[in-house]
Amino acid sequence: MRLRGALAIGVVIAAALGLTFVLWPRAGLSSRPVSSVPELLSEPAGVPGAGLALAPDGLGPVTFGETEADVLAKLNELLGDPVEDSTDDCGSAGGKVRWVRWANLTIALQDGRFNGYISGIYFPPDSPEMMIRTVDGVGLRATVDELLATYGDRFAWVGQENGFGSPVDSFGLDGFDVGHLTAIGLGGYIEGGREKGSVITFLAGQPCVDNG
Amino acid sequence: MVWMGPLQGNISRRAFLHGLGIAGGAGAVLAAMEILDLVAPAAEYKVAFDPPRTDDFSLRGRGNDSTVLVLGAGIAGLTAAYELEKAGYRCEVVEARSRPGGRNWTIRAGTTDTDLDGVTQTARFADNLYMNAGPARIPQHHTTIDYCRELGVPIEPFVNANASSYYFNQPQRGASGPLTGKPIRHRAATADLNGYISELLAKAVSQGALSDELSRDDAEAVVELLRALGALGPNDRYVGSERRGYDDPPSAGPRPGSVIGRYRLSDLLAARLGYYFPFEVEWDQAMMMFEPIGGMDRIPYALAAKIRGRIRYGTEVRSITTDEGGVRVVVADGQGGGTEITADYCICTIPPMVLSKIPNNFPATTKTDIATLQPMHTGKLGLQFGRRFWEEDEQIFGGITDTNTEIGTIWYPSSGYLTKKGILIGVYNYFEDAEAFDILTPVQREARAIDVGRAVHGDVYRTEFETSFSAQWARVRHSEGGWVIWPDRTGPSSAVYGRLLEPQGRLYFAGDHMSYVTSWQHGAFESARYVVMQLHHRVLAAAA
Repeated sequence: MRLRGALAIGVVIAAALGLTFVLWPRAGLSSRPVSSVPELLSEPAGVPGAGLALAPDGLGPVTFGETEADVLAKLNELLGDPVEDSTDDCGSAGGKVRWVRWANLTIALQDGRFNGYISGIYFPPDSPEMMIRTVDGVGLRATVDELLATYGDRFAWVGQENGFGSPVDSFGLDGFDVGHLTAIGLGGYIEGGREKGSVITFLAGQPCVDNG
Repeated sequence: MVWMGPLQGNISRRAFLHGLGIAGGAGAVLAAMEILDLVAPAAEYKVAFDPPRTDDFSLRGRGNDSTVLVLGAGIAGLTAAYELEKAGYRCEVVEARSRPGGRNWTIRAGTTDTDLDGVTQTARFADNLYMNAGPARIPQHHTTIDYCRELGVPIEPFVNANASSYYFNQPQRGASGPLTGKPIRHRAATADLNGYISELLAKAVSQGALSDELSRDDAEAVVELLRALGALGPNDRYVGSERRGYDDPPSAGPRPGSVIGRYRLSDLLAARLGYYFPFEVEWDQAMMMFEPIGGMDRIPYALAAKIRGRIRYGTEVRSITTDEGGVRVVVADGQGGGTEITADYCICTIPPMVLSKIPNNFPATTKTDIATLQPMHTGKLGLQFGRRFWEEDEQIFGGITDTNTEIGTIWYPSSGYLTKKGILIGVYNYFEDAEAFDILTPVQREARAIDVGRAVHGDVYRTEFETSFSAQWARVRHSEGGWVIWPDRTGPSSAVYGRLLEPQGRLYFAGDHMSYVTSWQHGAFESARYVVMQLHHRVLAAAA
């Protein structure tokens, strides 16, 4: 009888302990009050649009003419390591141009200076496409209508190229001629025709100037 | 490979197949390939999951004192905490909303929400009625079903396909002709198109047009099959069948029923109705499908009830710092205060669109990867009607009406049959249609939904309408999108996805976006399980 009583008490205690284990809230994680709470960012971090802009004279924080070292340091800070870094012959005088690429943005470095960029949708899809926009908010894949609505008379057709597999139309802003790259400015290529096409490439500067 | 009897060793596999192909046609080759295990027989698959256990630690002669902070109390976050606690991890969950579930959101009477534009809605649905604004259906092979079983969440069938619901294409977006601008029953369009296509193919086969592709035996078998698939009549012509429905249904007395006359093939093609057909056999859309009884949010509430660690609701994450020593997260409590929480590990399930705006110390590449994932614009709008006219007048009990309009689809409820009131999903749209809805007010969206609904169901759509609730997910706070779109719009791109699968110090990303089953709860469950095992193995390795 005494044994059964002890057994019953044991069962009750065990049940109580089990119930406590199940129901009792566990201790929280280590925490402490802080005096200031960071604000959320107004723009997503990591989107180059937040820090870079397609401008006639560069990419916002970096402008044409800056030294190679300064430009790479700033862009590496913003974009991480580039995915491609190569050097090509440029021009009849034996000049060289260094191409450094992050996703769909390639910059041109020549004679130790930043002197051009290309942002396009057909770079190898080995990293996320960045969404850099012009200072007026126009990005890759913008339609002709959007370009015209934004730039009006500043927009002009330049010509047509057939070296991309299918014809593409080139355009320039403020007189920029992508065919000759003789002046500072911003332009690009449109695929899909002059009525319903959309921007596949923005480029600016004078990448690969013929030093000869 | 299975045993091949006397053929083993006497004849090459290729020669064996080739011989069979000549002798027996394509069917025999396929059948033989199945026998030879070269083609997997149709089967349902599950990803094996052996959850972490406390035994995993005791076997190593120690307990588990690791702490894990989970960011987000959606399906992935709750599942991660639930599974980790099984192995003794001390977990805490931080959630910006005042409820669990994230996009698993059931709207009932009194549900209030203020969107990113500052517009506040309060649902005025009748008691016991609800709409699932996010996930609303569960395929039978999804892990979600397993959790319903484990958590004791009762389920009921969800009708995802109904021969009585409609196709409704307006003369736009490539559709034209006399079958546009009017509701066409699924059964009629399907029966007619199957019939006409079967007739055409039967003619082609019978006339020898495919003699290079089919043996004589197979050709005969194909024609026989087409007669059954298309309900072909004399001379293998399609002349309509009872499959498409009746003008006057069969009844008693002198009423044998009269079949509705068939549509013309060219009209069906011009209306582009056939493009809807594959939906019903898609991997994730084919019946059977299920829903929890009482609302989809029964699942996250059941998960939350199982979690012993603290769940901090109404708490926004404001910064994340992760390194090899642990994770520090600063949260705001909504009352002006802030807290820094530290943990050994962190599982971050915050949607990328939201996470990209939270200050953190991730590498630049990771920040860009996160920001690369763009929001899927999508929305649902529930319409409450005072009378279930779709059942009473049109005999539609569950299922979906497809349209080529801005509202996308209309869903009929799969529960509450024969009761008085009911809620239809009057809008479920995507992409550009949803983007156009994003910038409308809920009242404007409601008006658009009723306009299209009237075209489908008649004026009853206006006269019986009572109230609505709209969730355009790109405008819903703490989500900012229905799910994510990867850069190529097709799925996880290998480079970004692969990088985000890697932990950032002691922080892991989880969620449906971290799976190949984006947009489904199944993806969130599977991602949580994957990350739980990654983390667990890491802790075990450190303990070894």
